[in-house]
Amino acid sequence: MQTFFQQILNALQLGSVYALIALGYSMVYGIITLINFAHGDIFMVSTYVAFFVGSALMAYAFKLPGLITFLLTMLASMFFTAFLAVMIERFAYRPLRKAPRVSAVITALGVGLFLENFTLATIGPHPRFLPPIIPVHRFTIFGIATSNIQLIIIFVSAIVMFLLDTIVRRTMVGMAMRAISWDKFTVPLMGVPMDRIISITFALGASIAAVGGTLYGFVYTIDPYMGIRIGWWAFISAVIGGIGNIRGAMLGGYLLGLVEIFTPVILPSSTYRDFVAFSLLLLLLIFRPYGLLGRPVTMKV
Amino acid sequence: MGKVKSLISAFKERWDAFYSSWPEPVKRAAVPGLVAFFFLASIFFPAWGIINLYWQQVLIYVGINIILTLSLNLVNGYMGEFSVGHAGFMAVGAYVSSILTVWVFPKLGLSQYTPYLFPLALIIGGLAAGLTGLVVAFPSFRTRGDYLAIVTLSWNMIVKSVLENIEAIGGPRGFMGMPKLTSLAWVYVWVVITIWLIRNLVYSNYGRGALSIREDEIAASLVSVDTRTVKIVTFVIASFFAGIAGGLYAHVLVFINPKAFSILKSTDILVMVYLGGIGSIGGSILGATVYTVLLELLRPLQVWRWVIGPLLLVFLMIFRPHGIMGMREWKFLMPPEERPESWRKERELFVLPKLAGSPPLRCC
Amino acid sequence: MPILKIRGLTHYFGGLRAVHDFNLDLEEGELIGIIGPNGAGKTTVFNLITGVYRPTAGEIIFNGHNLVGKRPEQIISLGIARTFQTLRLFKNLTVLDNVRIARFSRLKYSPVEAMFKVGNRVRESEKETRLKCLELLEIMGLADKADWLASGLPYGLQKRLEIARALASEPRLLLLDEPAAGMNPAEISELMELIQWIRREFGLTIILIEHQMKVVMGICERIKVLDFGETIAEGPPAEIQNNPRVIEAYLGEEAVV
Repeated sequence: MQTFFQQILNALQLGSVYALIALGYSMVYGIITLINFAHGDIFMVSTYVAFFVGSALMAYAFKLPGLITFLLTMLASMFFTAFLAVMIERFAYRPLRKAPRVSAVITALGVGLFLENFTLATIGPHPRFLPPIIPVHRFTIFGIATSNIQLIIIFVSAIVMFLLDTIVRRTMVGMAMRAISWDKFTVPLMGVPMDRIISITFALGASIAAVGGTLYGFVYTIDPYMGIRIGWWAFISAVIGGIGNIRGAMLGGYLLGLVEIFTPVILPSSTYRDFVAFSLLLLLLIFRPYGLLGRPVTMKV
Repeated sequence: MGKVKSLISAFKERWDAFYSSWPEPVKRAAVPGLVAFFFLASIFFPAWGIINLYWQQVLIYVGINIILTLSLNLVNGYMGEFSVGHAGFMAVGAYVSSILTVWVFPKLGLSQYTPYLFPLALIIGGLAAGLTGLVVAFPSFRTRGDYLAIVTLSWNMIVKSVLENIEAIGGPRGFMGMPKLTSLAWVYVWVVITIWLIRNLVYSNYGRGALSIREDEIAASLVSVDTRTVKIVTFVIASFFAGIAGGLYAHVLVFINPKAFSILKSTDILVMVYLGGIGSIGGSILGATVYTVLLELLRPLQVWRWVIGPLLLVFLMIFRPHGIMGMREWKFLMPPEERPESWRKERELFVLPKLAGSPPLRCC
Repeated sequence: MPILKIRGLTHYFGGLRAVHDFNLDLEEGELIGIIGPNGAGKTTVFNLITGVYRPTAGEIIFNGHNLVGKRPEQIISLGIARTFQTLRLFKNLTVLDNVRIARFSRLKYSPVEAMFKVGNRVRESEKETRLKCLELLEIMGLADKADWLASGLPYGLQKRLEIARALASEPRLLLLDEPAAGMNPAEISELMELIQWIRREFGLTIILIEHQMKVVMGICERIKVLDFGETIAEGPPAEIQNNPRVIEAYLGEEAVV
């Protein structure tokens, strides 16, 4: 039973990261129906930003308390990544808004590959570790081994998600986002600055991914290919939850965290986890084509 | 850009004038003649050393990529679905045909005939891949657009994962021991067969059905298009040819592993389809050729070619979102009876005389 | 025996009652109109007949076949064709292809035959289709634009192409959904002529949804009036024009007072 809860905690930790990235996929899809395949690589870039900023802060400003360094690192990563995403939207996706939809998807794939290979070419393929910005402190509660890092990941993610949900549901910007996702032809006619709202959506999605990226870097190694690996899983999370649906993305993220952690427990080897995750996805899409929380699009004749 | 365009159109004009000056029999023999010439070339040029081993290899990949691109274009370009898992079908074809040539044929005591049985192995691999095409075809009845794309993606991942977990065929380490049976001539023959069969299909009832699904699926079903049949046919045939390409690929590389058929491979094929342009056979040929050769030429740049390649793709999409020749076709690739000039002739020969008697309706 | 018999046709969208207890007996060769304010459920009736929606209740018998539960393409193949309120042409395809697609169910060869072009079956049936469609385009005055893209045609011709496409499947019953929408008076007169002409020439039974009273009153033999999914009146044009409930539905209650 203790190992079970232990695994649940691990699943929550991983699921939080998936959920944070999935949100970006879902928000962008919700607003301009584009599967932003570059999002996983934006996440990857964010971990590298965290790596460099964190290392620099540790090297030159070591007197700062760990928590401040952590926050500074995360903010820098969020800021840079948001800027990157806005630029990508501005120069790669916006010119294609009236083009066939697949052109934009292909462009997104291209941007993703570019980011990945650019990182590979400039920084190299070796896996790296984030410096110990917050010293790891392991402890046991109720017989479950955990660490301060693990709890930080789970709680920070939860707080960020709650904030995002509030932004989307309660603020004017959020209302504008939802309005554009509902009808992108009439809403701009009502004075909603569509371009700016779309930019904000990209910025928000990317900075949330950067939160995920910074947190991820604390516990796992980072390399240029992680954007694809983690990105796909986050993407599945978004789809399982119902792409375009923010709460769905969170739900999907945690679900996939569970799948990833529990597959090796149930099946002979962890190599089956892709098989399990994608089979689940396939079955879900066949029987519930719009995800768990998504709504079917009604056709008009 | 404008200069290039006017140059191209000037060239086209001159070519058209030149072409129309040919006598009728020469015109008719031109395409088959060229096909035959290239066939002989594909046999003798390598034998005489006119094409060195390196370029043979490149041309073989060009050919395989043409088959892959054309078959994916059937689904993505003509039918307008967004399949992102084509490498999954390719993998099925590659593994099945390899198992045949490595295990089954020798076990049946047919080792010395394996080179002759190669087409059979390819076809069986293709059929197996075609069968798995149903995995995607059935969900496509209910699921469309992005969600169907994700179904195909899952399919790709599942195939790869299954292959990685079957130890008998090498698991993640891969499968080897295939004889190197894929030659330039074989690839050429398969490319011609593929182009011919797919061309016939797209200019038939089923091809038009696929096009109508791309344009407006509901309207299609409301003008009697049996969308389910068309989807099954399209997915199965596209997967079949992906399987053939997989078989060819396995027998030129003589080693395959699940990683070779990952989503990255599918992305490659997608890029070639959209580079060449959707709904176009000529576009598929161009897209596959340009992409394959370009990546070869960029090889000296090493890792940077994967930086420049995607960047070029992004620029292409921004400045030419329909690809090189989206939805247009070279005339010589169309069946003769489908070319506008031939139905204009039919109109004069059959339709106008028939209607001459009845009072024609006033036109606006 | 009526060619189309509808009994108690009812359809709900969630809680919204779009059509309620719609009944119809249509004799071969009739031309009837369905009118009613926006949202009265007229197009929904067409969608129910052609299988786009499955009715909540009721039955639709066409020529002895029960249509309820059949898929659209099966229904169309039985001899029904329709046009759409907003044009739904295959915009990026040629005019000829638009018409040819409508003969999908008439062409009977397998995909393998199509690919290998074995024998003459494929060639001949393709040629027959081409000639039939070219003939139809000739009749509709579209033949010289057969290789244009449908999106390149002017609006009036697009409307005409949609009718041509519907006729290509050789229907016995034709459902026209607001064919006169967006047309000027001259085009409307031409359209009325066209409808009557194709009806005679192709031996069609026609149901027409239309807002243009000139069209409905001018060519329909019988009119059904819908309002909020209910049939509120039925009869020959002259009778409908003076029916107080119809006037009320169209102009609002106060106008009657």
